[in-house]
Order: sequence, then structure tokens, then C-alpha cells
Amino acid sequence: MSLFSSAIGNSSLLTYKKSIDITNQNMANVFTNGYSRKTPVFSDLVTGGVEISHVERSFDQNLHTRYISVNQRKASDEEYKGMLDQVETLYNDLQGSGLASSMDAFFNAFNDVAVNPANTAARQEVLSAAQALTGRIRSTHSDLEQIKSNTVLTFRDTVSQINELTSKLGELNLNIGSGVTEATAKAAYLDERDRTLQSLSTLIDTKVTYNANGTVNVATAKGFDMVLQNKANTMSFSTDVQGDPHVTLGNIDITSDLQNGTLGGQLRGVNYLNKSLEDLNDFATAFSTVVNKQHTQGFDAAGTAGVDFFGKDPGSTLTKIDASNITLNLDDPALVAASADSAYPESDNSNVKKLLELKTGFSGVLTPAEENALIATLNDFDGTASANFDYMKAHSFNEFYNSKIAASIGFEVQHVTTSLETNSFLQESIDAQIQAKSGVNMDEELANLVKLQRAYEASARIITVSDELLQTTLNMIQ
Amino acid sequence: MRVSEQSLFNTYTKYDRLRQSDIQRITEELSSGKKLLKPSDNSVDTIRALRLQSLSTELDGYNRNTEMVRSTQEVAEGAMGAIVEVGSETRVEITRLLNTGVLDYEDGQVIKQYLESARDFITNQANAQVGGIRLFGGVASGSDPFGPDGTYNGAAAETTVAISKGVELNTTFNGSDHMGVNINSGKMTAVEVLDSIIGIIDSGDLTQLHTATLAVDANGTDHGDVKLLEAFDIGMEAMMEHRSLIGNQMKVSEDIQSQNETIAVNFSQLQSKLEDADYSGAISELQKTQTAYQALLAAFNQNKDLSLLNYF
Repeated sequence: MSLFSSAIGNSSLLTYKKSIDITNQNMANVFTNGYSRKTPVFSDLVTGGVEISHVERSFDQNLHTRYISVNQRKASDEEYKGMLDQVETLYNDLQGSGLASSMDAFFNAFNDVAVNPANTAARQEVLSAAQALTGRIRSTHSDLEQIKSNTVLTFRDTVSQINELTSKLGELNLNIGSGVTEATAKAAYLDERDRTLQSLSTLIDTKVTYNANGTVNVATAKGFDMVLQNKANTMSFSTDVQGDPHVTLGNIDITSDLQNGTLGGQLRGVNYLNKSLEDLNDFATAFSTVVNKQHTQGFDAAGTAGVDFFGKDPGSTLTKIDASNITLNLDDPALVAASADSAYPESDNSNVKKLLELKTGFSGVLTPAEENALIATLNDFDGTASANFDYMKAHSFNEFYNSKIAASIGFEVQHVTTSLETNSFLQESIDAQIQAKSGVNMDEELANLVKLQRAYEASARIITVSDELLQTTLNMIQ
Repeated sequence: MRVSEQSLFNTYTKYDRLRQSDIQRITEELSSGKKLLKPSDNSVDTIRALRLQSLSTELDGYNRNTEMVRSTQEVAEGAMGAIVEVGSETRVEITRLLNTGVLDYEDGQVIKQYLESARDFITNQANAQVGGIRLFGGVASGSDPFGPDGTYNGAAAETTVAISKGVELNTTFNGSDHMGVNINSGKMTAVEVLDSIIGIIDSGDLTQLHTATLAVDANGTDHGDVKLLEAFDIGMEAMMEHRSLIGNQMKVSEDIQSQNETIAVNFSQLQSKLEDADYSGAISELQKTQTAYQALLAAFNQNKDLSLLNYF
């Protein structure tokens, strides 16, 4: 009897020691991201005593799936907003960047020439203002290109990160599915699997399928396999002639399927940058064409027919003027064609007044044929019309800049900020629920520890008492 | 609901981040004096502010033009005023001459010299300039529009500049109209009359003063052959009419400038309303945020030590 009691005490001692170890693990990982607390579940043995029937991992798959879904959208918004913030800085006219003040200064400079066409200082002011404007247009274009090129490089790095994570998931699947049987070790692998899935969801939108043995299959949102059991498919990065990034998975271009995650956000950013560059280029092309046309209608200070006001950088291979190559074509103030009458080149101001009027509109400056030729060169030309040109003609260059370029970025940032706030709130809310389910509470663990200590002490007492009983019995025999 | 240790810290860091971000934003507003710091703060107000900025720049341009136009008009009006004054005095001399039957040589020379100096004064004033621009040469403002004999070499076209939307005023004037040029001779009528009188004095036959006529087509009317004094009056009348027109333009420019300045102030106030920080509101908001931040710090400080560990 006493020998049997000693065996019960012994098994209990081992069981509670293991349980204390699990509690210690919980306490040690109190601040470990992605850690799911473990609870030993006891069962009594038929022969008496107690054992750990299994270790329960506090994990809610449904919450985890929702977290991944929201996390993808949040990561996309975060990445997209980061890129938009950079673009917004370029068009922050209220703080001194942007084109609005330079455009106002450019048109305003014609005023002084209109008052006194012979005034060389006033003519020089026109050239200075034009140079400042072309400088701003080109530096804005160059900054947009730089942001795009940085975004594309980050995109490439993100694809590499995704490949690393899918490869890691494949290895985890291998261990979870076949190798590990010990409960706490398997739980640790599952924690790592979920952490990896969360990291992956930050980078790309995925669909996760949980298998009965604890492994997961991961596919893109459109169903292309990224991880199937322990096999990870590698993604490839490339760029097209426009410098836009592309991703292929098993020779299939999946770029257009990517909406969420950091990668989706970067793609949204590149698309926005392309649109921004198109608008800026269309603005520069139309603006230079119209100003040139009006300028060539006049006569310079020497009575010679006006030449093009704007030109393109000699180093440019493009056939048209745009924001990347626009330059001032005049280097002498006398070349400003202020007069419409060659007989009075230094006193007539008719042409400079028409140049000044371009600020409010340019209807009638170009002939229908010239307009069609211009429209055909614009980026948003759809084969019949250009919305950008129509807007500039219906309103003005200033209004196109204000409404279509500067305001557009403001509205886009506002929209993404709202979306990001919503997704952040949702993510925090789901994360709080996950924490409530899986997080470690120190007081709870300490209480458990005390409880297990007491149970351990009681088990030890069983052994001591059994030993004393045995000793007493042995003494009786002597 | 279970509360994990991590949740406590997550909640703290989340609200700490939010409060710090609020404080930073309000501090930026107070430091810069602007509530619109970037387009996304309020895109609609940003566009409105940009439009107002553009309109203010346009008004600045108009106001500068108005100043230039006003100084041009003042010089032109002054020149015409001087011509009219001298013309009036000269008319008195001509009338006196007409009433004089006989003139000895010396008196004749004195009057002749007076008339010559009056003529030269009138042509000089008609060639008045501002910064090299001959005001009465029309678009041909680079050289003197009137020759010594009053011949008009200027242009009919005038140069104008905008002082407001749809309102343009002259920076040069058509000397032919303003100085009463006789279309038949191409000369200023008044100067032509003075030259005729000088010629008659030189001839010694003063009776011609009563009989001589001049074919005058000036100030938009073909008057036919008229006597010299009448011709002189026609020339002077044309100048006085156009002087009053310049006066009207000066009145218009004053009105428009006053209007432009009022609008500019309104635009500036509107722009300020859209862009500038509301200091009292921002300071009150800062205090609220600071209180919330202090409460957060105090709550965290109180809660962080609550643990069963303290009793072990």
C-alpha cells in the first residue's frame, strides 16, 4: 500500500513539475509577440495519481484569420500613405513648395512689361520668373521620378522578404506535419507559424488554409499557390520598359492581382506616381505649347518675329516638351515678344497682354488643328480626347494645377488616412481580442504557480508520509 | 474579459502615441501660426486659399498698374493743363492783335516772339514723356510725336494696361485726338494757327488776320474754312475735351484702385481665415490634450505596479 502511494506521489510530483515549467514558460514569454499561453490539462490515472493529458494552446483561428485580413489592408494603406506623404510635400504650396506661386509670379511678371514694353528690367523679370517656374516643374518631376524609383527598389526587397517567409513556412510545415510530437515544442512551432503568417500578411494579400495536422497552405488572393505543404514557390521580380515593377509566380504575372499588403500599397503608390507624372507632363506640354504659340505671334524688341518661349533640354531624347525637359528658350530680355506690331516693338504691348491673359484661359490661341496635334501628344489621350487638355482649356492652367494636381494629392491622402485609421482601429480591436484569449496575465500565472506549488508540496508530502509508514512497518519487524 | 500584461502596455503606447501626435500637431500650428500645414489637412480650403492667393497676386499687379497709369495720367493731364493755360493767354494776345489796326516793327517782333515761345511751349508739352515714353505719341512712344511746326508723327493706336478685369486705361494717348490735330494739314491746329499769325506779322499786312482762313478738320468734325481765331478755338476745344477725358480716366483709376484695395483686404482676411491658426482655440485644445496626456501618464504610473509579484 505504501509503495503504491509512493508511486502516485512520484507521478504527481513529475506532473506538477512539468506544469510549473509550462507556467514558467508563460511568465517568461509575457511580452513575446505572437506567444499563445499554454495551459496544462490534468486527468486522473486509472491506477491513481495524475498526469497531463494535453497542453492547451489558447488560440482562436477565427480571430487570427480576421487579423490577417485586416493587417493586409492596413499594411497596404500604411505603405501607400507613406509614399503619398512624400508626394504631398512636393505640392505643399502653403509651405512654399509646389508650382502655384511660381505660376502667379510668371504671369504677373508680364504686367510690368505691359506697362512699359521698353523696360529691360521688366523683361528680365519675365525671364527670371520663367526660369524659376521651369526649374520648379523639372525639380518636381525629378523628385516624383526619384520617389518612384525608390518605391520600385523597396518593392524588389519586399518580394525577397516574401520569398524568405514562404520558404520558412515550408520548413515549419515540414516540422509541424511530421516531426514534432512533444506538446510544448509543437505549440512553439505553431506560434512561429502564426507569427510568420502575420508577417507575410503584412507584405502581401494571402489566403491561408489550415490543415488538420497544423500545417498551412498559403495562396495569393486569386488562388496561386505560394506555399503548398512543405513546398514554397518563389516569386520573381522584374520591371517593364516604363520602370514599373512586376511579380511573377510560376511564370504567371500576378502583379494586377496584388491589392493589399505592403506590396499592394507599393503598387498603388507606383500607379499614383505614374498618374502624377502624366498630369505634370501633360500640364508642361500644354502650357509650353500655348505660351510658345502666343509668343510667336508677337515681335521682340528688335521687331523680329517672336521665337518659342520654352524649349526642351538638348540632352532630352523626347520629341516633345514635357516636365522632364522643359527649359527657357530665351536668354536675352530683348527677345520677349511683347509687341504685336513690328513697327513699334518697344512700345506696343498688345502681345504681352495676350500672354498675361493666358493665366485665365487660352481659348482661341491654338487653331483646331494645333489643338488636335497637341492633344495627340498628351499622356491621357485615349484616342479621341484628353481629359487633362479639356480641363485646362475649360478652366485655366492655374486651376488645373490647383484642382487636378495639388488638391488631388490632398484628397487622396485624406482618403487613405481615413481608411488607415479604420483598419488600424479594426486591427487593434482584433489584437485586443487575441490578447484577451492568448495573452499572458502575470497575476493569473502567479496564482497558478502557487496552486501548482501547493500540489507539488502535497505530492512530496505523500512520498514522505509513505516513507514514514514504510519505516514504521520495517521497525516493527525488527 | 481577460486582460493580458501586453494589453496594458499596448493600450498605454497606443494612447501615448496619439496624445504626443496631437500635442505635436497643435504645437506646430501655434509655432507656424497656420492651421493648414499640408493639402490633406483640408483639401477644399487649400484650393480656396490657393485661388485667393492667385487673385491677390493678380490684384497686386492691377494695383501696380494703377499706380503707373495714375502717374502717366497726372503728367498727361498736367501737360494738357499747361497747354490750355498758355493757349488761353495766347488767345487774349491774338484777340488784342486782331483789335490792333497798325503794328510797328518792334511791337510786331515782340508779339511774334511771344507767339513763337507759346508755340514752342505747346509743342514741348505735347511731347511730354515719362521714363522715355512719349505720352501723346500713341503706340509710337519712342520718339517725339510732334515736330516743331506741330506736325503729328505719332500713331493713332494707343497703349493700354488692365487695372481691373475688363478695365484698361491708357499709358499712351493718341496725340492726334488729344492735341486737336488738323487732319487736313497733319499739324496741331493751335500751332498751325500760331504759325499762320507769325507769317502774317512777318508779311506786315495785319489785315490778313481778319481775312485769312484755315481749312480745319479736327476733333471729329470737318469745319471747312474758318478764320484763324475760330481755328485756334477749335484746336483748344479739342484739347480741353480730351483733357477732361483724362480727368475722367483718373477718376476711374481712383475708383478702381479703391475697389481693388478693398477686395485685396477682403481676400487677405478670407485667406487668413482659411490658413491661419485660431490661437485661442489651439491653446484651449493644447490644454485639453495636455490634461488627457497627464491623465494617461498618471494612470499608467498607478497601474504598472499593480501585480501579485509585490506580495511574494
